[in-house]
Amino acid sequence: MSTIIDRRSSGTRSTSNQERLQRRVRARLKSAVEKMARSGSIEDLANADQPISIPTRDLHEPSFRRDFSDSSWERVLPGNKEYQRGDEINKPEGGGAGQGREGSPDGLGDDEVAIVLSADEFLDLLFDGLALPNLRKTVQGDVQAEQWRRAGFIKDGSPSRMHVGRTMRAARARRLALRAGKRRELQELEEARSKLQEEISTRIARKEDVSLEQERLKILDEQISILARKIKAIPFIDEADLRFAHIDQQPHPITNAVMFCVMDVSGSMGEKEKDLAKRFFLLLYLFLHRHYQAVQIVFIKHHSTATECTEQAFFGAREGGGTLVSPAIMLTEDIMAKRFPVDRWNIYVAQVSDGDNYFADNTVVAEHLHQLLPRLRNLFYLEVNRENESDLLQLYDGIAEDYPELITARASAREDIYPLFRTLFSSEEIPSHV
Amino acid sequence: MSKFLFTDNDWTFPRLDAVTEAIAVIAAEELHLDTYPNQLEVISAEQMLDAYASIGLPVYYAHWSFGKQRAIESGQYRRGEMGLAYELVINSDPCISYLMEENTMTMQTLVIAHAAFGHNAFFKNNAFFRQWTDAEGIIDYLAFAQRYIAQCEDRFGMDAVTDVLDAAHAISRNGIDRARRPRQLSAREEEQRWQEREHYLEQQVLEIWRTLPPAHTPSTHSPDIFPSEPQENLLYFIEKNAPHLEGWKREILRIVRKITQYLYPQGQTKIMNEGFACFVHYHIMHSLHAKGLLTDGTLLEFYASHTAVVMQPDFDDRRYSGLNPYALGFAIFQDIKRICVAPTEEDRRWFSFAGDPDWLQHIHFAMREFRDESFVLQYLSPKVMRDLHLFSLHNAVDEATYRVSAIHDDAGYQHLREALARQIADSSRPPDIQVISVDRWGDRQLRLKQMDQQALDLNEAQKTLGYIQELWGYDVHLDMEDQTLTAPQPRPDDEP
Repeated sequence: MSTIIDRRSSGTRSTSNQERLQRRVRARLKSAVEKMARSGSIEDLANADQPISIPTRDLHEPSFRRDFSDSSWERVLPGNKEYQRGDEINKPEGGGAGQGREGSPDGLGDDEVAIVLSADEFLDLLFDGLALPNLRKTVQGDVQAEQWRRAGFIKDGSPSRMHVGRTMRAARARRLALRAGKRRELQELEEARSKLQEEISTRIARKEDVSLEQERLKILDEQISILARKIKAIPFIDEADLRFAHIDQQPHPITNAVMFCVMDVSGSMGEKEKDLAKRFFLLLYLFLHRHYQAVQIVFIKHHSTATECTEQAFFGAREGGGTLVSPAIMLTEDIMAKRFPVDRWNIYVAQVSDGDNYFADNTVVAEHLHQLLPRLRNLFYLEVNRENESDLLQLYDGIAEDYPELITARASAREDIYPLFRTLFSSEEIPSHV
Repeated sequence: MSKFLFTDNDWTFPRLDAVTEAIAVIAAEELHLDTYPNQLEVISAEQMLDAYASIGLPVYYAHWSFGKQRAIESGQYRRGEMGLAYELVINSDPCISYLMEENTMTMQTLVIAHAAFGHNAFFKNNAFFRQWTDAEGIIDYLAFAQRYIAQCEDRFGMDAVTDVLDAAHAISRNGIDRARRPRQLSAREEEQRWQEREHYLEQQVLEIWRTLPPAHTPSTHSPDIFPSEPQENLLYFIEKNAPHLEGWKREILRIVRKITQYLYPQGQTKIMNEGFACFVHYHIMHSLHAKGLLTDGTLLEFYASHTAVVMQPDFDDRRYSGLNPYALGFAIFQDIKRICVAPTEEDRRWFSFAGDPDWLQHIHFAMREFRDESFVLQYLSPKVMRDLHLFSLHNAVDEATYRVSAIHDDAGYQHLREALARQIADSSRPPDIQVISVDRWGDRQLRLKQMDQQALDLNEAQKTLGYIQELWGYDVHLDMEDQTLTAPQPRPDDEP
């Protein structure tokens, strides 16, 4: 007797083991991930499904075992060709533990285990312990929007919302409930009636008087017919059975976010500066992605004027000229007003610049920031590759004292970006200036 | 009309059914195989990797080491270094065999003959499996173990459970009663029993730790030795006697011990089990072909896979990685049949049953009553030794060269047989380490002793002692021939 079962659709069951494995080497995975974030290429970061190799000694499982290297042994081997008993064979150099397997093409040796992280696992490790500084505020109130949602069933409503299935179910239940008792009664009466009839016929056979019984039979018949009518009168559907689908307005958190990337592309911003900027933008993007279902990005480049552009143009462009920051801020306001209403979107602005700005422009910038900041979740200002703080940074820092949404930082090397990012978002105190 | 079971090579469920039926007939009528009912399960490559990671068991508790195993194997598989087995079979009633969906119909036929009938019959009839395992209860018990350990993780935290499992795994190979028949498992009983016992244990003082002298005896107790004789089952001893191990930890030790016990015969019968399954599939495939149920093409494809499976690379071949149990086992079983059917003069000198026409009876007897060590000692024939060109190499630590101690000639046969049996015994048995005493009246230290003379890997031993100490709760020492090892303080930390 045999049974054949198709198990292919039941999926794999290794996730719980994998989870425990990752937990065990978490510290090592984390440092590998952070190393990638610090110095790996941007592409690696963006599609992180490369295996991370962990030395097996971290995952060693000891047990009592024999040590063959330091003792005599005898072994039976197949494939003798010319040996005779008593022949002596030179031991291989170096203890003779046998030759190890050659390394495989991807550089994994025997003593390493490759763990492949999913994008989520990668980001979890990368952003472990980090939180959006302003999320507390948002959770409490203003990210909630109203949304119509299904909310069960109610007994009255408009005919167009009547739920047929539920209604029929209620009707059937009511019919069953109302009938059951009467049916039982009817059955009892009918039993009594048939008994009575039997009695009548026996009495007739014995030639006894049956008038009293006939009387009782008549009464029973009447009761039976009344009951039968009552049962029949139970309606198939009743007003009480009607059910309507209910929809209700419920608060619904906004799960969309938009990130404005504002970059200075004036002549002073070279390849290196842009690489730093890109790293910062990417980390921020990945990070926002963990908190919101969808994150949109708007690229704005500016020198003395500001334009919205594609990603390629954003990072590829190198334009000369002087620098004005205010046009970029104004363009941001403009786009927000047109496409990203504040009550629907979580808005973040990330601005990277080398800090050169016309002195006169700074007051304009300050003015606009005072209007803009209350509508943002955060504005991050990163100043790259500068020896001392610019006037612009000092201005921002001044404003940041009133607006915790404004966060500023400085970076001068690739390796700075990730640690800086960590300090920006470490969940304890919100630094207004790093 | 042709009688062929199939002519093209795609498998379908009706074909699997038909093939299984045809094989069942041959297995019963020609080979007199007594098997558990079969349950064939078609699975994907990913699922096969899963099954690998948990020693083939269909249900298993979660532990990081299984994740590690899987990471290693799936890496090797993806890089093309490792082919997956065509099948995996579980010693259970009904007997569960996994068939890979990638297999051709020919391969499925081979796999069904090999696993669902060969291994199945071996599980049901071999003395070691009958003595050590309960095929009927195992799946339920594994499900219980998985549930129980998941519950413990909920109650006591994942890390605490992992620590206990790590320690239990470290000494699991020393957790087998080799001389005693284990009690059969029943999942429901087990579940009930642990609940009662846990409750009891939580409130009880262990009797052996009662240090108050009995009221009416003189207060000077004789310095008694506990345990009264050395105990080989470390896991069992700790489970029962660790001074204050929580109940759930004892239960986890018990689970690891029971499952190790269940798997024990598989390690003892690798050569026989595979050899017998190959013998069975070889017979069945030929018989199917002889009956006109398989095409010539199918038979040729079968030969290709079969020879690949029972191939024994020479010791100096790049592919050599030890004796192939399939090759050796198959060769010996085939030779038992040959010795019955067409004995030579030499066979008559070596085997009393040579020339007995009832070869099937001798195959069955060999399959039922032996394990690898005794099987080789009993049945490895001069012809097989010659065919495989076996020779033995002796290594003495203080000499500069290896010495060839025997080759496949009249002077060497007996020596080769014995050397191979010893080699099998050594590799299938962990170092013999036993509990010799517990200082009940003093500092409660646990003393272990190595009972055999073979060198231990000291580094490993030290770490393992650390785990034992963690379970035991007090100092642990291991006496060896020339030194005493003590568990490190504190325990070896695995985190980098």
